[in-house]
Amino acid sequence: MPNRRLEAGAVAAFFLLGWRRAIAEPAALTGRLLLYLLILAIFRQLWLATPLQELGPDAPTAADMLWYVTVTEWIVFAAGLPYRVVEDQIRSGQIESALLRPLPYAAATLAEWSGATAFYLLVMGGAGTAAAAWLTGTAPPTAAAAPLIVASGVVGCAIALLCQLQLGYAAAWLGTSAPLFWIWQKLLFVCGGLLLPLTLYPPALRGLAEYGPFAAILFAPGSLILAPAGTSVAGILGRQVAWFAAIALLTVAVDRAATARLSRRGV
Amino acid sequence: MTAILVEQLSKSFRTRPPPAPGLARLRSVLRPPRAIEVPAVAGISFAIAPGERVAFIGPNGAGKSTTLKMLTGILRPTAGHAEVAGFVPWRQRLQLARRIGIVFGQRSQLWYHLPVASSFELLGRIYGLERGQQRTRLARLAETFAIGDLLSRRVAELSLGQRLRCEIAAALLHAPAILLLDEPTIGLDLTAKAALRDHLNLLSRADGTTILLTSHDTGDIERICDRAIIIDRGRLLMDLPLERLRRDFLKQRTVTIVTEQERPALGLPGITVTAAEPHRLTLAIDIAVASVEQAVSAALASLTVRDLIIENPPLEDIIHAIYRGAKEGSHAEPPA
Repeated sequence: MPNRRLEAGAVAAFFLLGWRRAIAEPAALTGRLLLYLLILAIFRQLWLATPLQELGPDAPTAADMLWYVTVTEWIVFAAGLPYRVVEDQIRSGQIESALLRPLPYAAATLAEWSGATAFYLLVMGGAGTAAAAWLTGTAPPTAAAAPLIVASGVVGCAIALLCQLQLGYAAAWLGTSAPLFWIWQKLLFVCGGLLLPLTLYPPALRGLAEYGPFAAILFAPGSLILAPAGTSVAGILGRQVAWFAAIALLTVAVDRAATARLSRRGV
Repeated sequence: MTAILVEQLSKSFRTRPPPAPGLARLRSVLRPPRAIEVPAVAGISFAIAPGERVAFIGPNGAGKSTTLKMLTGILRPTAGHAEVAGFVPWRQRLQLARRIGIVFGQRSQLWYHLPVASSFELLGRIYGLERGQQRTRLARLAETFAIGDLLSRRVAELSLGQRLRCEIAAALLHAPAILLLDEPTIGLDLTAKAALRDHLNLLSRADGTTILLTSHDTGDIERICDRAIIIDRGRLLMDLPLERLRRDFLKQRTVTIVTEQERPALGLPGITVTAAEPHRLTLAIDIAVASVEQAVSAALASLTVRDLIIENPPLEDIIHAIYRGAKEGSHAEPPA
C-alpha cells in the first residue's frame, strides 16, 4: 500500500500543478471569459427574438434558456481542449519523459487537467452566474438546486476530460487526434444539447440523445437548472454516474492499448 | 549480482516503404505496400555490475537509444530478456522508475513553465520524498552541479548547458542506484561539457552509482567511464575495459621530442619522423616493431632532450577504426 499512498500524493501534486498553471496563464482565462460572456450576450438577444411561447404552455422563457446555456457553456469552457496536450506529446515524442516517471501517465495527466478545470469551473461559474443574472434580470430558475448543479457540472467535466484523454491517445494510431475530436465535439454540441435542452428536440432524436454519453456531459447539469415538472434528479445524476463509470473503464482500456502500442512501435 | 542484465535483446520496427511519386502514390493509398521489419537491435547481451560506469558506444542508427529505451521500459523488445535493478523493465516500468535516473539529452523531464525549484518539488512528490530528505538532497545536488542560482529561474529561461545540469540533478534527486544517460552533453560548449563531466564523475564515484552512458563524444566516455560496450547496426562488436580498448587497438603512438640541437635526427626500425622542425622532432612509433621505451632511450642517448611528450591517438580514432573493421567484415582494424 505505500506505493498507493505515494501515488495519491503525486496525483495531488499534479492537481495543484494544473490549478497553479491555470492561475499563471491570465491570458487564457481572459480569452475564455470574454468568449463565454459574449456567447451569453448573443444568446440573450437570440432568445428574446425567438417566439418561445409557440412551443406550448410548458415552454421555457428566454431567461430560462439563457440560464440553461450558461450552465452548458460553463462546462464546455471549463474543460477546454486539453486533448491537444496528449496529441502534441505523442507527436513530439515528449510523452517518453512522462512515461519514465513512476506514476501512470493517464493519472498524472487527468490530475493536472482536473486542477486547471477546477479553477476554471470556479472562476467561470461565478462570472457566468453574475452575467446571466444581469442579462436576464432574474435569479436562476432553481437556485436551491445550486449544489446539485455544481456536482453535476463537475461530473460532466470529468466525463469530458476522460473523453479528451482518449481523443488525445488517438494520435498513437492515427498520428493526429483532430479528425476524431471534431466529430466528437460536434456530436457533443448536438446530442449533448449545448444550445437547446434535449426536451425541445423531436421525440426520436430526444430519445436517442437523452440516454447517451453526450447528454451526461452537458444536458444533465443544464436540465437541473430548468428542472421542469416530472424531472427525476436522481435519474439524471444516476445516468451521469453510470456514464462516468463506463467511460472511465473505456479510458483505462484505451490507455493500456495506447501505451502498449507506443511501447511496441516507439514514438 | 548485476545492476543491468541483457540477454539476446532484439528489437525490430515495422515500417512501410515510402510511396512512389505520381499515380503510383494513389495506388499505394488503395493498396499500401507490404510492411517490412527493420532490425534496430539484434540479439545483444551484456551484464553490468553495481557501481560500474559503462560507455555504450556506436554510430548513428547503431541501436544505442533503442536499447536504452528498452532498459527503461518505454520500449518493448521483439525478443530477449533484460533486468534492471532486478525488474523486467517493460513489465515493471513504474516500479523500475523509482530505482533509476534517466537523462535523454534531447528530451526534458522538467516543466518548462515552472521555476527549477518547483520542478524539483514536483519530482520530489512524484518520487515520494519527504520534505527534509528532499531539501538535503537538493542542497547537495545544487552544490555539486552549481545550480543554486538557477533554482528560482523558469526552466524556459535557462541556457542548454544550465538546463542539462538541472536535468541531471533532477535525475539524481531520488538517489537512483542506476543512471542511464543518453547523449547528456549534446549541444554543450567545451567548458560546459567539462564541468558537467566533472560533476557527474565526482557524484558517481562518491555514491557508487551505476552509469550506462551513450555518447558520440569520446571525451564523455574517457572522463566518466571505465568500460566500453561497442555496437554497430544493432550487434555487439566489443565489450571490454576502456584500458584494454586502448591497449589492444592502439598500434601506433606519437612521441614529440624537444631538443637542444637545432636539427635533431633519430633513426630506428619502426619509427617514422612525421614532422621535423627546429629543436623539435615528432615521431610515429609502430609498437609492433619498436617500443616507446626504445625510442625514448635512443633519443636520450643521442640528443640533449629538453622535453618529451608521449601521446596516444584519440579514442575517437580507435573507435572509428573498430567501426571500419566491422563494416569491412574483419573484427577490427587498428587505427592508422
